[in-house]
Amino acid sequence: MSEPLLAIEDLTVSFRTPRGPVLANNHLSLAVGQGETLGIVGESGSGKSVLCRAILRLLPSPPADITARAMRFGGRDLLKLKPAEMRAIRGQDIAMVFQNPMTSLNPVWPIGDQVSEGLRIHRGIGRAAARKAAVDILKRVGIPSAEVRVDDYPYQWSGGMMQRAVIAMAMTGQPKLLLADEPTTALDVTIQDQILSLLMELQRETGMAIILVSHDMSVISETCDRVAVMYAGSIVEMGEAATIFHAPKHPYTHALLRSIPHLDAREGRLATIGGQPPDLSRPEPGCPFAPRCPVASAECRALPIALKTLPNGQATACHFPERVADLDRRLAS
Amino acid sequence: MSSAPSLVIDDLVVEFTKPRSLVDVMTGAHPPAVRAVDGVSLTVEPGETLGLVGESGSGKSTIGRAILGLNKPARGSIRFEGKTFGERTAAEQADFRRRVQMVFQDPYSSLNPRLKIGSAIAEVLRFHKIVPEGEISGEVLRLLALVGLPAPMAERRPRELSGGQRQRAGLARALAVRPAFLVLDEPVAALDVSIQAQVLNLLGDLRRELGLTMLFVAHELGVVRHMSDRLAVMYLGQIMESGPSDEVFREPRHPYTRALLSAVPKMTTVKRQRAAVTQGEIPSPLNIPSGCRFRTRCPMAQSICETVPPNVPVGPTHSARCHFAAALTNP
Repeated sequence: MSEPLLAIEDLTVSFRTPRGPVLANNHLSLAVGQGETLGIVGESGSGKSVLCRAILRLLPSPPADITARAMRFGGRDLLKLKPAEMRAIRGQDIAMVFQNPMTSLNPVWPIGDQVSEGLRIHRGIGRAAARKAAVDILKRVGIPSAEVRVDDYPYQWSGGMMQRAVIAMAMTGQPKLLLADEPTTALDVTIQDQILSLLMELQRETGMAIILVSHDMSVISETCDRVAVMYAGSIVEMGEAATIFHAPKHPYTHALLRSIPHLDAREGRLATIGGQPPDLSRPEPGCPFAPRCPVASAECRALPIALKTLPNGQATACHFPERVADLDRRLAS
Repeated sequence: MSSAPSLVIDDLVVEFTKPRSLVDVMTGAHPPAVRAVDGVSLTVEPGETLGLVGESGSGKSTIGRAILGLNKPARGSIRFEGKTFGERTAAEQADFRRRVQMVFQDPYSSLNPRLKIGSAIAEVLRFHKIVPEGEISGEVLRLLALVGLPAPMAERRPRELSGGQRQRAGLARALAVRPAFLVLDEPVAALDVSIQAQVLNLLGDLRRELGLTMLFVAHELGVVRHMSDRLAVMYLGQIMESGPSDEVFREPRHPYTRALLSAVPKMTTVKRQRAAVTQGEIPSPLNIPSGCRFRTRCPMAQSICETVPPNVPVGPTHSARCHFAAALTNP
């Protein structure tokens, strides 16, 4: 791969709270190539959404403190840009789609106006031309009879249609990178299927890169080239999606995969993860997953942990990745 | 325990109407009724778990609520252990209120935010006189232990609990009155997968230990598959397909069931290239398509589908409401 589109090195985000700083993103490094889809998977509170917001610099400071060695996007360091320069990138080169479309749309403003606002700002075109372009882009994202529905208000649309409108708004700037934060979580499975297909079609047409945040590993496995698994603010495993879901090298990824109920067989009991995620305001020295890990030993709680790359290119933040294979043997017996 | 079905729903119709506006009254107009449930019949045998799946707006929660009497039927009947609401005496009705319990998706909205968890459970124990006053606090602790919550949780308020803990607390309260039948409305939809797995395991254990009968309402097919003995698939207020869970998942006979199953993302090693399985969205219940309700989105729809499809038996206990159900065998 040539120069990646986005390269984050050693990003740390903490929030000031009355109880002391809460470390929401803990020394994260990742890269996204042109046209690539990177999946970010993890449970609530693992720091997935904070990461997206940090990339777009949407976190107000205070309470957020953001540091990184670099956050390069298209040759520029996002953290060094002036607010006006950042505004020119936001919604233009990097766009974002949020989980709940209802909160992304202004309820008292016709949808067409909200889509054309972006067009007027990003493309500098006039009101009438923007309206026409808004109809075209709404058609493109699959809104039936868009020329009529363009004057509707958000409440007149279903959740799936609103999410299409939000995607249309994100596409108006012809972004190079789309941050999609749980874009289908609030939707029914058939509508989720439609939205995922739409995102992938748009990606094929425009060549944009996508960071897709989801708690659903099946969604990630169907749509992403690479995946980063997050736990307690850290990336615990990263690599090709196919490799990681087939042969995880971190006990947390392994446990997550085991806890999903499957469609093709009715198993007796689901695997669970005992305990609770750690308190992010009280970082422990060792591996954050160690207290819940079935194969942890004393070293795991003491030795600091960092992502290390295995010979096959998969990166894991586990001191003993070879123990993950034992987990399967243990479950099989 | 008798061998008669626990619950028999026959031709249930539930309608919602907007209140008449002043203009409606002056012009003599009646706003149209929305039929959320339109002629649903189903049976739940003692000890069995029936899964009810479908997209939002399919009427699955309305059925759950109607069983508890929270929605009034416009037509049809709901019999629990042989009796409808009207047929029960006051004492029987009180007993029904105890024996049939509901667990909601988000217990945050069903638990009183000001009551400590222990007090919320004690309240129902006291109301239904489950144990003598002196034994209430012991019973609360027993119930908390039953759902895997440590004793100090009794002193916490709902906002001090995590999502999974709240769901356990909601379950403890429902189980406090020793119910026979649980209606679970999306009990794990708001939970992370690892917590979801814990709650599903817990439900499975409790079902076995307490011999509970369950109606399990959910939109996530993997979860329903895991929990249900039998399955009913709903679309726009009607049951499209029903049968033993294993059979319906292995060999779905209704195009809608097939679409739902294909739309579920799978663990795969190849990035998908395919187009979406279905086009369009669930139609408004104010404007239900004639004939088969699914025909506007069905990939196999023909002109015959404008007539109401029969409920075709495709196995001893498996049927699908489709003209082509008999022909739809596995590819």
